[in-house]
Order: sequence, then structure tokens, then C-alpha cells
Amino acid sequence: MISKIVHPEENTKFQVTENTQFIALFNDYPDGKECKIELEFNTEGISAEIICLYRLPERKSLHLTTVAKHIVPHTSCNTVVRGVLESKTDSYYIGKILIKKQAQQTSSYLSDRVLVLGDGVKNNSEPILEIEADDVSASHGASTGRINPDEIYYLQSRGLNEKESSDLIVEGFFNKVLETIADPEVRELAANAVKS
Amino acid sequence: MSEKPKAVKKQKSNVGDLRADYKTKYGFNMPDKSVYRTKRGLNEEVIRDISKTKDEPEWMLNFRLRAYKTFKERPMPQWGANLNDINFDEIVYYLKPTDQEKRSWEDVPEEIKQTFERLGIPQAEREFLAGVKAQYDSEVAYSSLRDELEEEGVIFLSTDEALRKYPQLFEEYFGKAIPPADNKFAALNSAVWSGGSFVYIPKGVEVKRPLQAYFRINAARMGQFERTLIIAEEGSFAHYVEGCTAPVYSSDSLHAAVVEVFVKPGARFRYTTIQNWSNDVYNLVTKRARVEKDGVMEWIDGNLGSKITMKYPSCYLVGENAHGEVLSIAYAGQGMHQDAGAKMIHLAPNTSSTIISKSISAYGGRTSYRGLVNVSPLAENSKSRVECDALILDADSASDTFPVMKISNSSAQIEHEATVSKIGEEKLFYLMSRGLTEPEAMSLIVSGFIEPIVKELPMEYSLELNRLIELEMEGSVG
Repeated sequence: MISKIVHPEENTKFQVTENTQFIALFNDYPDGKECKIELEFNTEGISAEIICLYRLPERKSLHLTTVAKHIVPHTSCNTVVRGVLESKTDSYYIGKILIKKQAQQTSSYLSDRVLVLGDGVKNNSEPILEIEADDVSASHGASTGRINPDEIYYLQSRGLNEKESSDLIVEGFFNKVLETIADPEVRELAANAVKS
Repeated sequence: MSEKPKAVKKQKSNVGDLRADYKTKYGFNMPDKSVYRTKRGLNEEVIRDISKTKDEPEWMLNFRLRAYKTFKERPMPQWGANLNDINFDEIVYYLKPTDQEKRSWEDVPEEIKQTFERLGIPQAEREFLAGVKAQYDSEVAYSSLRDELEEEGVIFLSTDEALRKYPQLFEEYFGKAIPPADNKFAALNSAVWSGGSFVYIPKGVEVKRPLQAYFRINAARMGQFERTLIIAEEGSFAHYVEGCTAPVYSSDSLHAAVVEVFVKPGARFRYTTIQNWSNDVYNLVTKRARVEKDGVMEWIDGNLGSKITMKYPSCYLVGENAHGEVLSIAYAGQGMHQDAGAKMIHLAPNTSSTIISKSISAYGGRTSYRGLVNVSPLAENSKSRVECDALILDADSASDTFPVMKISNSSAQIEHEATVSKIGEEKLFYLMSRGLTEPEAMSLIVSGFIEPIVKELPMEYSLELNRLIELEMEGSVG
């Protein structure tokens, strides 16, 4: 699988013709810019991933849409979105999985997890499934929450201070996804983009 | 690869038309013996007529007229299912089947009795029920309420009766959770409402047995606009159950109900609906509960049948620690679109909500889950969990999930999960290796799929729902 950094614009579309990881990073994005990544599956037997990682600094906003559109049979897609929200940030995310009638034997998953660090945060999430074929497997999951205080407590009992503890947890939160990036150079780039 | 489509095909031919038996089992249409009915179509005169026939106070007439104005002004909703085929001029907005409400079973007219018999409400079962309110067409035709409940001060009447008997209580709550301007169909209901139930549970009273109402539409092209108003006072508990089995007729019929529930501090109220409208009914219902401190509201919603259902029971969690819950089952067969879901509005600290939705689509049917979880900035430490599972039984059917999460408080903990799948071939294979036929195996898997919700129903309703699902699946044998 090849790893590819994408810079999503208002309407970025890709025809997926080989197994690819599309990685979107938002560290140098203008505030509030609308971005959309759409993958269209027109070749049988192809699988792809959309990986979006962001750490939104104070008072910034993000408008992100991802679309996995399955048109032919036997394709698979995994959409992974991981975000960290600092104080007074707004995040708007729409994640679509569209499976057309002909696209039997599709599997498509979406997972959107947001970790809230600051106060006054607005987080809007709309994971959408539109499924017209029956022999498919599709699911999505979305969750939002603060860091579990038990985890912070544990790390503090091990000698870390509160800031170090939460940094470590955030690092772990991103690492699980970073590890799945095949290309080491791209992985490095992505890891730097989400550092505090 | 070459085997898989074959398996799908075989499964399809076995399933047959799930609703093929509907006409013989539930499709009956008693001769229409209405005493009074309005002309088709809607105008101010019709509304004045309805209000006059019911001998209503002036404020109610004004309320209806204002709502009618709102109805005319509001555009048709352009999202969700396609409602453009509804012809509001072809609908009869009010009809009254019998002269007055009947108290004892013996007085109920023979056809109506027959209808209930075919619906399967056994006489003996009535002993178990706290009170039976059966709505036949627009008016409550038969009602009984056990003496013990009356002694405790529980009011369980038709909404029209309640307006006559308890005007003050009525005016205080009526239209306060769902104002006519809420949406086009709430406005329509507010203008022409008739029938429905009024439930008042006094402070601290626990009603152990479920309160039941049966809703029916009989005359073709008859819109049913029942209006239900429920007030659960502090610390009370009750369970209200309604079921609908509409007979088959050819022209499109409209059902636009409004249900308002007020859950006071520490009260718990459960509202169960099992609907099996015939598949020419537009079912567009607005249901809303206002839940105060420590209150619990539970909506259990079973949607089978109808042409289009658009229904999103909601809980406004306005008091601390309030809890809202929606359990929903939808089945969409040929030509049906079930657009159902739930709304949870968290407006106070420590509020929590749960939504569990299970949907099944077959024969070109479409199920859509449409939901909203809204956490306001004031709702510190609120929690919400949403789970939607959809089963697609054949290649012609479809399923959508449209959840919206608007979270404006940093401390909220929100989870959402949805899956769409078909019946697993391994599961089918395993059950068939145990001697079940394919349709039996499918039926068993579907029963298992909806089990988490069915087990929450009162006994006789879970039986009825199982009967209905069995009937849907029964076609699969032939």
C-alpha cells in the first residue's frame, strides 16, 4: 500500500486505482477553510484508507468532509479521523460512506474520534451511511470526550505531572493511527504535524 | 465469487412477498357508518365545523384557526422522504363514528367489536389491562378505566373529553411542548386535531399496569389527527401503550399525530407504540417530551407498514440528571420508506440519553435512521450513546444513517455507532445444519436482531410484535 499526503481543497476528488493511503494533515491550514476529500472506487479489488489527523489550536475552526463512494463490487475503504481540540475551537466534520447498487461485496468503515482538551469547544459530527447494495459490510463510529481522569491519575502516580500525563495520552491517541501509515517518511511528517 | 450472487438469489426467491398475507390477516375494512363527517379538503369553515361539533371553548377555535394559518404558510419539508404526492384537498379531516363514547363493552357497536376481535384483543386480556381506550376512527369508541386508578386520581380520557372536563389543566399544557409553528404537520394537527389520549398521573402515583389505547383508521382517505397530551407529576410512574393496525384501502391516507409528554421532577414515563399502518398511509408524527430534574422518559417505537413514516421522538432534557431513551424498530418492505430516528436535546448538567435503533429493509424498502444529539453549553457532564443497526435482506433494498451530533460543551461524552449488514451466511448455514429451513433460519435471526427491543415491551405487545414480524417473514415459506 502506498502512502500519499493530500492537501484537501474545497472539493478534492480521487479515483482510486491502486491500494493507497490518503493522509490529510491540517497543521498549516488557514482557519475555517472548507475542505473535502472524496474517494471514488471505480476499479474492482482495490482498497484504500483516508486518514485525517488534526490538532486544532485555540480559537481555530475546521470544516472537513470525507466521502468514500463505492461504485463497483469488491472494494474496501477505511476512514480514520482523529482530532484533538484545544480551548474555544470549532470542528465540523461530515463523513459519508456511499455504496451504490452495483457495489456488492464492499466493506467500508469509518471511525471519528475527538479528544477534547480545552473549554468552550464546539464539536459537530455527522457520519452518514447511504447503502443501496445488500451484500456489504459497512459501519461507522464516532465519539467525543475528554481524557479519562483515571488515566491521568495513573500516570501521575507514576511520577509524571498533569501536563506530561495528558501529552503522553494525546501522543498515544495519535500513535495508534500513525503506526498504520506504511511509508516511514510520511509517518514522520504526520507525527510532526500533530505534535503540540 | 460466482457462488455468492447465487446464494442471494435463492434466498430472495424463498422469501417471497413478505406482505402477501396482509390482506387476509389484517386487511379488512368495516362498512363506514359515520354519523358525521366533514367534506373533503380543508378551509376555515371545516375547522369552525369541527370545533362547533365538538362544542369547544372559544380559545380552542382560535388556536385551531391560528394553527391553520401557520399550516398554510409553512412550506413542505424538502428533506427526508418524498411527501410531494400528498393531496391535502382529498382528505376528510374529521369524522365521528358513533354518537357518543361508550362506557361498557356491551354498548359498543357490533362492527367495531368485530374489528377489535380481528385485531386480537381477547376479552380476558382486558382484565390485565389498567384501562383500554380504543380509538376507532377519530373518536374514542370504547373506554374503560379501572376504579382503582380513578381513586388514585389518574385521569385517562380521550383528549376531547379532557378538554370538556378539565379545561384549566388542559389549557396549561396543551401545545406547550409542541407549538403549532413547530413544523407543517404539527400545525395541521393543531388545526384539525381530534381524539387521542389525555393522561394525568398525580404526584407520587405509580401505575403498575400499562395504560393502553388502540388506534385505527377505517374510512378511506380519512386523515387521522389524534392529539395526545400526557402529564406525569413529580415522582410518578406510568407506562402508556398504543398500537395501530390500519385496514387496507387503496387511496392514500394521512396520519399526522402530535404527542406531548411532560415529565415532572423525579417522574418516569414510558411511551410504547407499535404501528402497522397499511402501506398507503403517510405517517408523519411529532412526538416530544419535556423532562425535568431527575426525570426519565422512554420512547419505544415500532414502525411496521405505512408508505412513508417520518417520526423522530424527542426528549428535551431541561432539568439536571434528566434521562432520555429511545428504542426504535423499523421494518420497510415493498414501496415503503421508514424514515425514523430520535432527537435528544441536552439542556442541563448531568443529563444522559440513549438511542438504540434497529431497522430491517426488504423487497425494495428503504429504512433511514435520522437522529440528533444536541448538547448545549449549559449541559455540563452530559452523556449520550447512540447505536443503530440495519439489516438489508435483499439486493433491491436500501438503508441510510443520518446522525447529527452538535456538541457545544467540552465535558460531554458522546458515542455513536452504526452498522449495516445482511444476514450472515455463516449464521444461516449453521442454523440450517441444525435442521432449520432457510426461511426458518432467517426468521430466527431477525427475531434475535430485534430481541433487545422486543423484550422491553409488555407481554401482550411483544407477542403481537412477534406475530407481526412472523407474518412478515411467513411469506418466506411459500
